[in-house]
Amino acid sequence: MVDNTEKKVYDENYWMTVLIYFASFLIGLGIVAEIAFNWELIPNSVKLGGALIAMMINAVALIWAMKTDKNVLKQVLACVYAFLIMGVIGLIGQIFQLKSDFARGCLTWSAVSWPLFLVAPRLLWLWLPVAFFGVDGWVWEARPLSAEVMHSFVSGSSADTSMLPRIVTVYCYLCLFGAYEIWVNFKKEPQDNITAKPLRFWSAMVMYGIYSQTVYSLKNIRIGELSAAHDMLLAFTWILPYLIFAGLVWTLNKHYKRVSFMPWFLCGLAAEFLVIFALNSMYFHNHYGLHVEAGIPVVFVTIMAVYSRYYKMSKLLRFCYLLLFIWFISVWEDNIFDVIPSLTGCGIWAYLAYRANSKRWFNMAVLAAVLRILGHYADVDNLQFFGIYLIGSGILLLLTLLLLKKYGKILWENRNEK
Amino acid sequence: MKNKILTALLFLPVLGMIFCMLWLKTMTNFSRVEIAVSGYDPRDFFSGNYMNLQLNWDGTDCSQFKDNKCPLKDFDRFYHFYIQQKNSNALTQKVNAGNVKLVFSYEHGYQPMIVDLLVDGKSYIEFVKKAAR
Repeated sequence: MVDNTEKKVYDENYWMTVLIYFASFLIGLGIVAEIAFNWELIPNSVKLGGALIAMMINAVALIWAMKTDKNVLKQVLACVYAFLIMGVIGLIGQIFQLKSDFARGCLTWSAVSWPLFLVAPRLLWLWLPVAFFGVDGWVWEARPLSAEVMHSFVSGSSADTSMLPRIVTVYCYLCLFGAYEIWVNFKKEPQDNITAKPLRFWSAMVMYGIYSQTVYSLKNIRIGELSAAHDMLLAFTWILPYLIFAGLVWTLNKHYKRVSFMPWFLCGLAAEFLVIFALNSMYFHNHYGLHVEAGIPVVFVTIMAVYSRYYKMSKLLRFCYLLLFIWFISVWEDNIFDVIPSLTGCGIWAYLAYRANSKRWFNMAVLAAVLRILGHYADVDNLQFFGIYLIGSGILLLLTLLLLKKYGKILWENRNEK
Repeated sequence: MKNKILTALLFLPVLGMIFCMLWLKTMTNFSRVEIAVSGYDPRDFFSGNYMNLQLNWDGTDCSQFKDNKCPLKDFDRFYHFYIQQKNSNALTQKVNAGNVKLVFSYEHGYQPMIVDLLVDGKSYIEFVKKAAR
């Protein structure tokens, strides 16, 4: 990926930043869960007023963090603010008894929260998928195509196979669109040009909207049903993303020497989607099962990790480690017998990292253990407790990170003295 | 200059939410109509638990509408009413017994907005307070 992020904090302490975002994500999600609990006996005016005051306090705190140049706090506050907005949208929906229109909620959120990634550029990773869902759902009416596919995947039911090429194409286009957005937003810009990024961002969003609308207008048409012109237009909507994709890869490789992150990441992602679709049809016939579903992503991420290690793409490699880490946390079954072996594994991992003098792996092992313990206590059934749990987990994770940063030095200094 | 614009932009979400609230508040000021419902209880993470209520036009008094005709096309088939999970069982029983009506703010040409749920002829908040005792 392009190597030009604005603040040194990312370069010096990439992992810490990623995990700080994750902790902020947990706190933000906790706020959403607490709001979703629906405190019926509190008057609506108090709830709405409280939500607005909370947003204003967050905004003021964020401005203060910006002015005093407190980078880490700025990232945390921006991320919490993003989730707070999400929660307030849910709260408004709850109070005014609006329909649970996920796409409209996503669109509203992406329309009002985009200034946040001018402050914390990495919030783009949250903004993009939400905006995708919003535009996707808006164009494809109430139920987004992505939600359709996700639903069929999660429930194990078969998607409409005649739609498969178009669905895959739309996803490839989504990847392409994501690549474009990331590329234009992380490009170095003259410091005084504040309008350039939002302009490029929204122009890309319009591009996606036009494309998606074209696909939508053809959604009930099959090849051979109407005129040859329709068939050509249909074929064009399938071929266009691949053409643009190829053009983008070619252009990027021509102009930037260290840009190979993006195409390969996207290739991995696109391939993964393809396999998921293929797997979905197999899963429908129950040939395989959840183990294969859990195994497929890890195979692709491992391939991407090996590739990036071989070609010394450090950022892609870190990203792959993060994906593997998330995978590790998510696949373990939630019962006490699996907590003990996974914690033992983390302990062995930390010990080996300490002996090998690898600070990064040691920190990862400690954090994996913390997350595994947190995962064990997650209770999604009760939103009130789940919200408190998430907020507590986020704070605990932030504290762990601070402790690792502060006391980790002593640990490693002692080791080096020995 | 750049910092000032950025500072102002950070209040965009607050303004956006205020706009949404005012707009929706305006939409709830139309005349009230009561429509009978039947339903069940699902869940949405972002907004909590809700009753998914199907409008029951057979049990609805159509004289409250213009020309004594129920405007079926102006309404959706299903509406959500957000509730706390602990109240869902009691409310489901009331819905099954046919004692529940949705109150809408209604004006032809606008999207009808739910303003209350009547349980045994009383406001939902009274039902909640009674359940909490």
